[in-house]
Amino acid sequence: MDDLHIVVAGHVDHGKSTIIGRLLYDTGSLPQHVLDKFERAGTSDDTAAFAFVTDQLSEEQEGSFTLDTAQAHFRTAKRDYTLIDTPGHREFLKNMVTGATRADAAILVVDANEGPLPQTYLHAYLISMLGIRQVIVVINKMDLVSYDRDRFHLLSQQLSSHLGRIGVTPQAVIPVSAQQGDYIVRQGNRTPWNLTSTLMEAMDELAPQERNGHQPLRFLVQCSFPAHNRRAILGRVTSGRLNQGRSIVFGPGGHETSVTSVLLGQQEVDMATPGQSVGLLLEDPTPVKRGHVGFNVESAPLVTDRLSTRVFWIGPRSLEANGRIEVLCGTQSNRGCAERITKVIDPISLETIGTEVARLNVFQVGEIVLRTESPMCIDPFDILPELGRFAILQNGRIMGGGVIAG
Amino acid sequence: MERMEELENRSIYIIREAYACFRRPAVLWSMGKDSTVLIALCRKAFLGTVPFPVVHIDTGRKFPSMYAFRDKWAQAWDLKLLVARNTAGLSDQADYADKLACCTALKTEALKQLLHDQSFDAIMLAIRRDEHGVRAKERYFSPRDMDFQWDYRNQPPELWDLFGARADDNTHVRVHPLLDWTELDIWRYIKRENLPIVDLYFAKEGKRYRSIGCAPCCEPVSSDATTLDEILHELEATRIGERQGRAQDKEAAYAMQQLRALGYM
Repeated sequence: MDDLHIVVAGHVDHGKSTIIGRLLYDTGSLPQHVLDKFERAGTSDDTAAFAFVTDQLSEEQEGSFTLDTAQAHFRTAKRDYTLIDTPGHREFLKNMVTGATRADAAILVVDANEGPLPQTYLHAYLISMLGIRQVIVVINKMDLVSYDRDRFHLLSQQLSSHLGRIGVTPQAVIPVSAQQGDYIVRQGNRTPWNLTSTLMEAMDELAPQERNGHQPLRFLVQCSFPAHNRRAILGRVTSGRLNQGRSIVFGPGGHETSVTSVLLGQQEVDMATPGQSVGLLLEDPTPVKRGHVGFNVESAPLVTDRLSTRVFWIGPRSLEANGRIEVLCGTQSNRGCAERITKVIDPISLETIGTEVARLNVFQVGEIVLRTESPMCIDPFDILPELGRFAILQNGRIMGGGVIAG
Repeated sequence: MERMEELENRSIYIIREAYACFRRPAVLWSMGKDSTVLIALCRKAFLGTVPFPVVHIDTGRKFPSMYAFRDKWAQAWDLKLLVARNTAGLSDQADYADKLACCTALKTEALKQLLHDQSFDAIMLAIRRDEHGVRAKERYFSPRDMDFQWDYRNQPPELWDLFGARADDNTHVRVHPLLDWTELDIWRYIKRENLPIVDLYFAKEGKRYRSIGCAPCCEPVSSDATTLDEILHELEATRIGERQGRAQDKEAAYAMQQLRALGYM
């Protein structure tokens, strides 16, 4: 069975953790000791009980907010699901992004009473930038607006139109009350006017994430290791197929050799497919090392020291133009700088709020030209994501990330 | 990709990242089902051998069959086995009624001594998110400071498979290759790979252990599962949590959080 990872995003207190708790509760996925806690707490009227399923730190339960991302796994007749809870406070954006980069799809949660607020827009913007194209919008807390149909339609239109402007067409917009259980797994009878599917039905409609074996070969080298009296090259195929006996080129240098054996553990196989972590015996492994990328000569990645990118900055310090940074992409690591910060974008209005600026501040998103000390193998993010995305480090800490423009 | 295959390949990727990015990594093995799967994945990652030390934190209070299992498979798999004991903690004959103090003395302190003596900068552990709500908050590469503290209020970001992990002087990083696995995944993998497993997990006279550690702090659960298939069948049906037989989880509220903040596994 396939396993779909879904990030639950949105503004603080709009009900992300509660929706996860409710989904797990209504699908019978919670263990007995958690159910016992519900009983003791007086249960379903206790507004925090569902959220505490993932909000397990003392600070989170005492303060009724999510501090860090967490994951909960459950299984339906259709597939495995991993729900990724995220914090809605701006200060914890790094934790939200950590969760969101693991996701194949997103649920964007909006409070029916409050409507979209700043983090709703920032999270939506990041979801779009991270290439998550399957998005379900959930208008939560419908009980607080007396299940008002007009209120729902107004918000539904507003959000669909905004998401359309950032290239996201929501798969569904659903009015729910996670607290009361309406339209999460069961319909309930308080919104007879509603014709949408439930959240669970909409999740079952999402497409599984397919790894495409027909794309160009990319093999990320992690390290070398002595095996069979040879130097084996250990790494992972991220796209395409790696065949025993075929020639292979390693960039950025361009060393060409051929694959003697493909090893899955101790077992020799004819071919490695996307996602597989394998070992390679090469005819000439001599110059191949960590950070190199294996590919076929007819479909090489771009080898360049200048990258045109879109970035999100999570800090804690700001990104200074021409300041020293380190760029991680696949297993490549390279020193460099932000040569130009060409654009700063407001995630709410989507307007450009600065061009050719001296710094990108914490929680800002923008467009940047990165310059690295030596060339790197890269691909456009939309086509081959693994070499189209990167992290930026300052002083050895990840402070931002981004994607490479097509 | 099938879930099982995805999990296996991701874990191997993480194990190799730990090997490639740290000066002196090691892996913890408690002989329980999870860390036995981790050892199997390490062997697969390095084409049949484990190139770094395999550490057993020995409290002296484990079940006898666990020690027998350790010695048999350490030899069969040619592991570089290191046994770490907090001798000060063990010589103190007082019975540790206080579970938190006992775990801290016999496990966390033993690990501290070992890290100090061996200067390991990365320790791989077989914790999983679904074991405990606090473990669900963990990162794949989780730094610990000089005092062994886990700063769970301010964890570093990890973007996609870019972990950016490194250890500063006198600190170390906990590496968690099995974070995404569930208890059922572990058993399905043991079955798929035909891995050996301590016999305590199989039912005798209507009882079996679902989670094993120190003998005084583990309670068996009622079960008739005497084979892997029966265990899988039982777990697919149950709603009882895995660690319900583990005493240290049941102490005061947030006991696990306190233990882990102090450097517990």
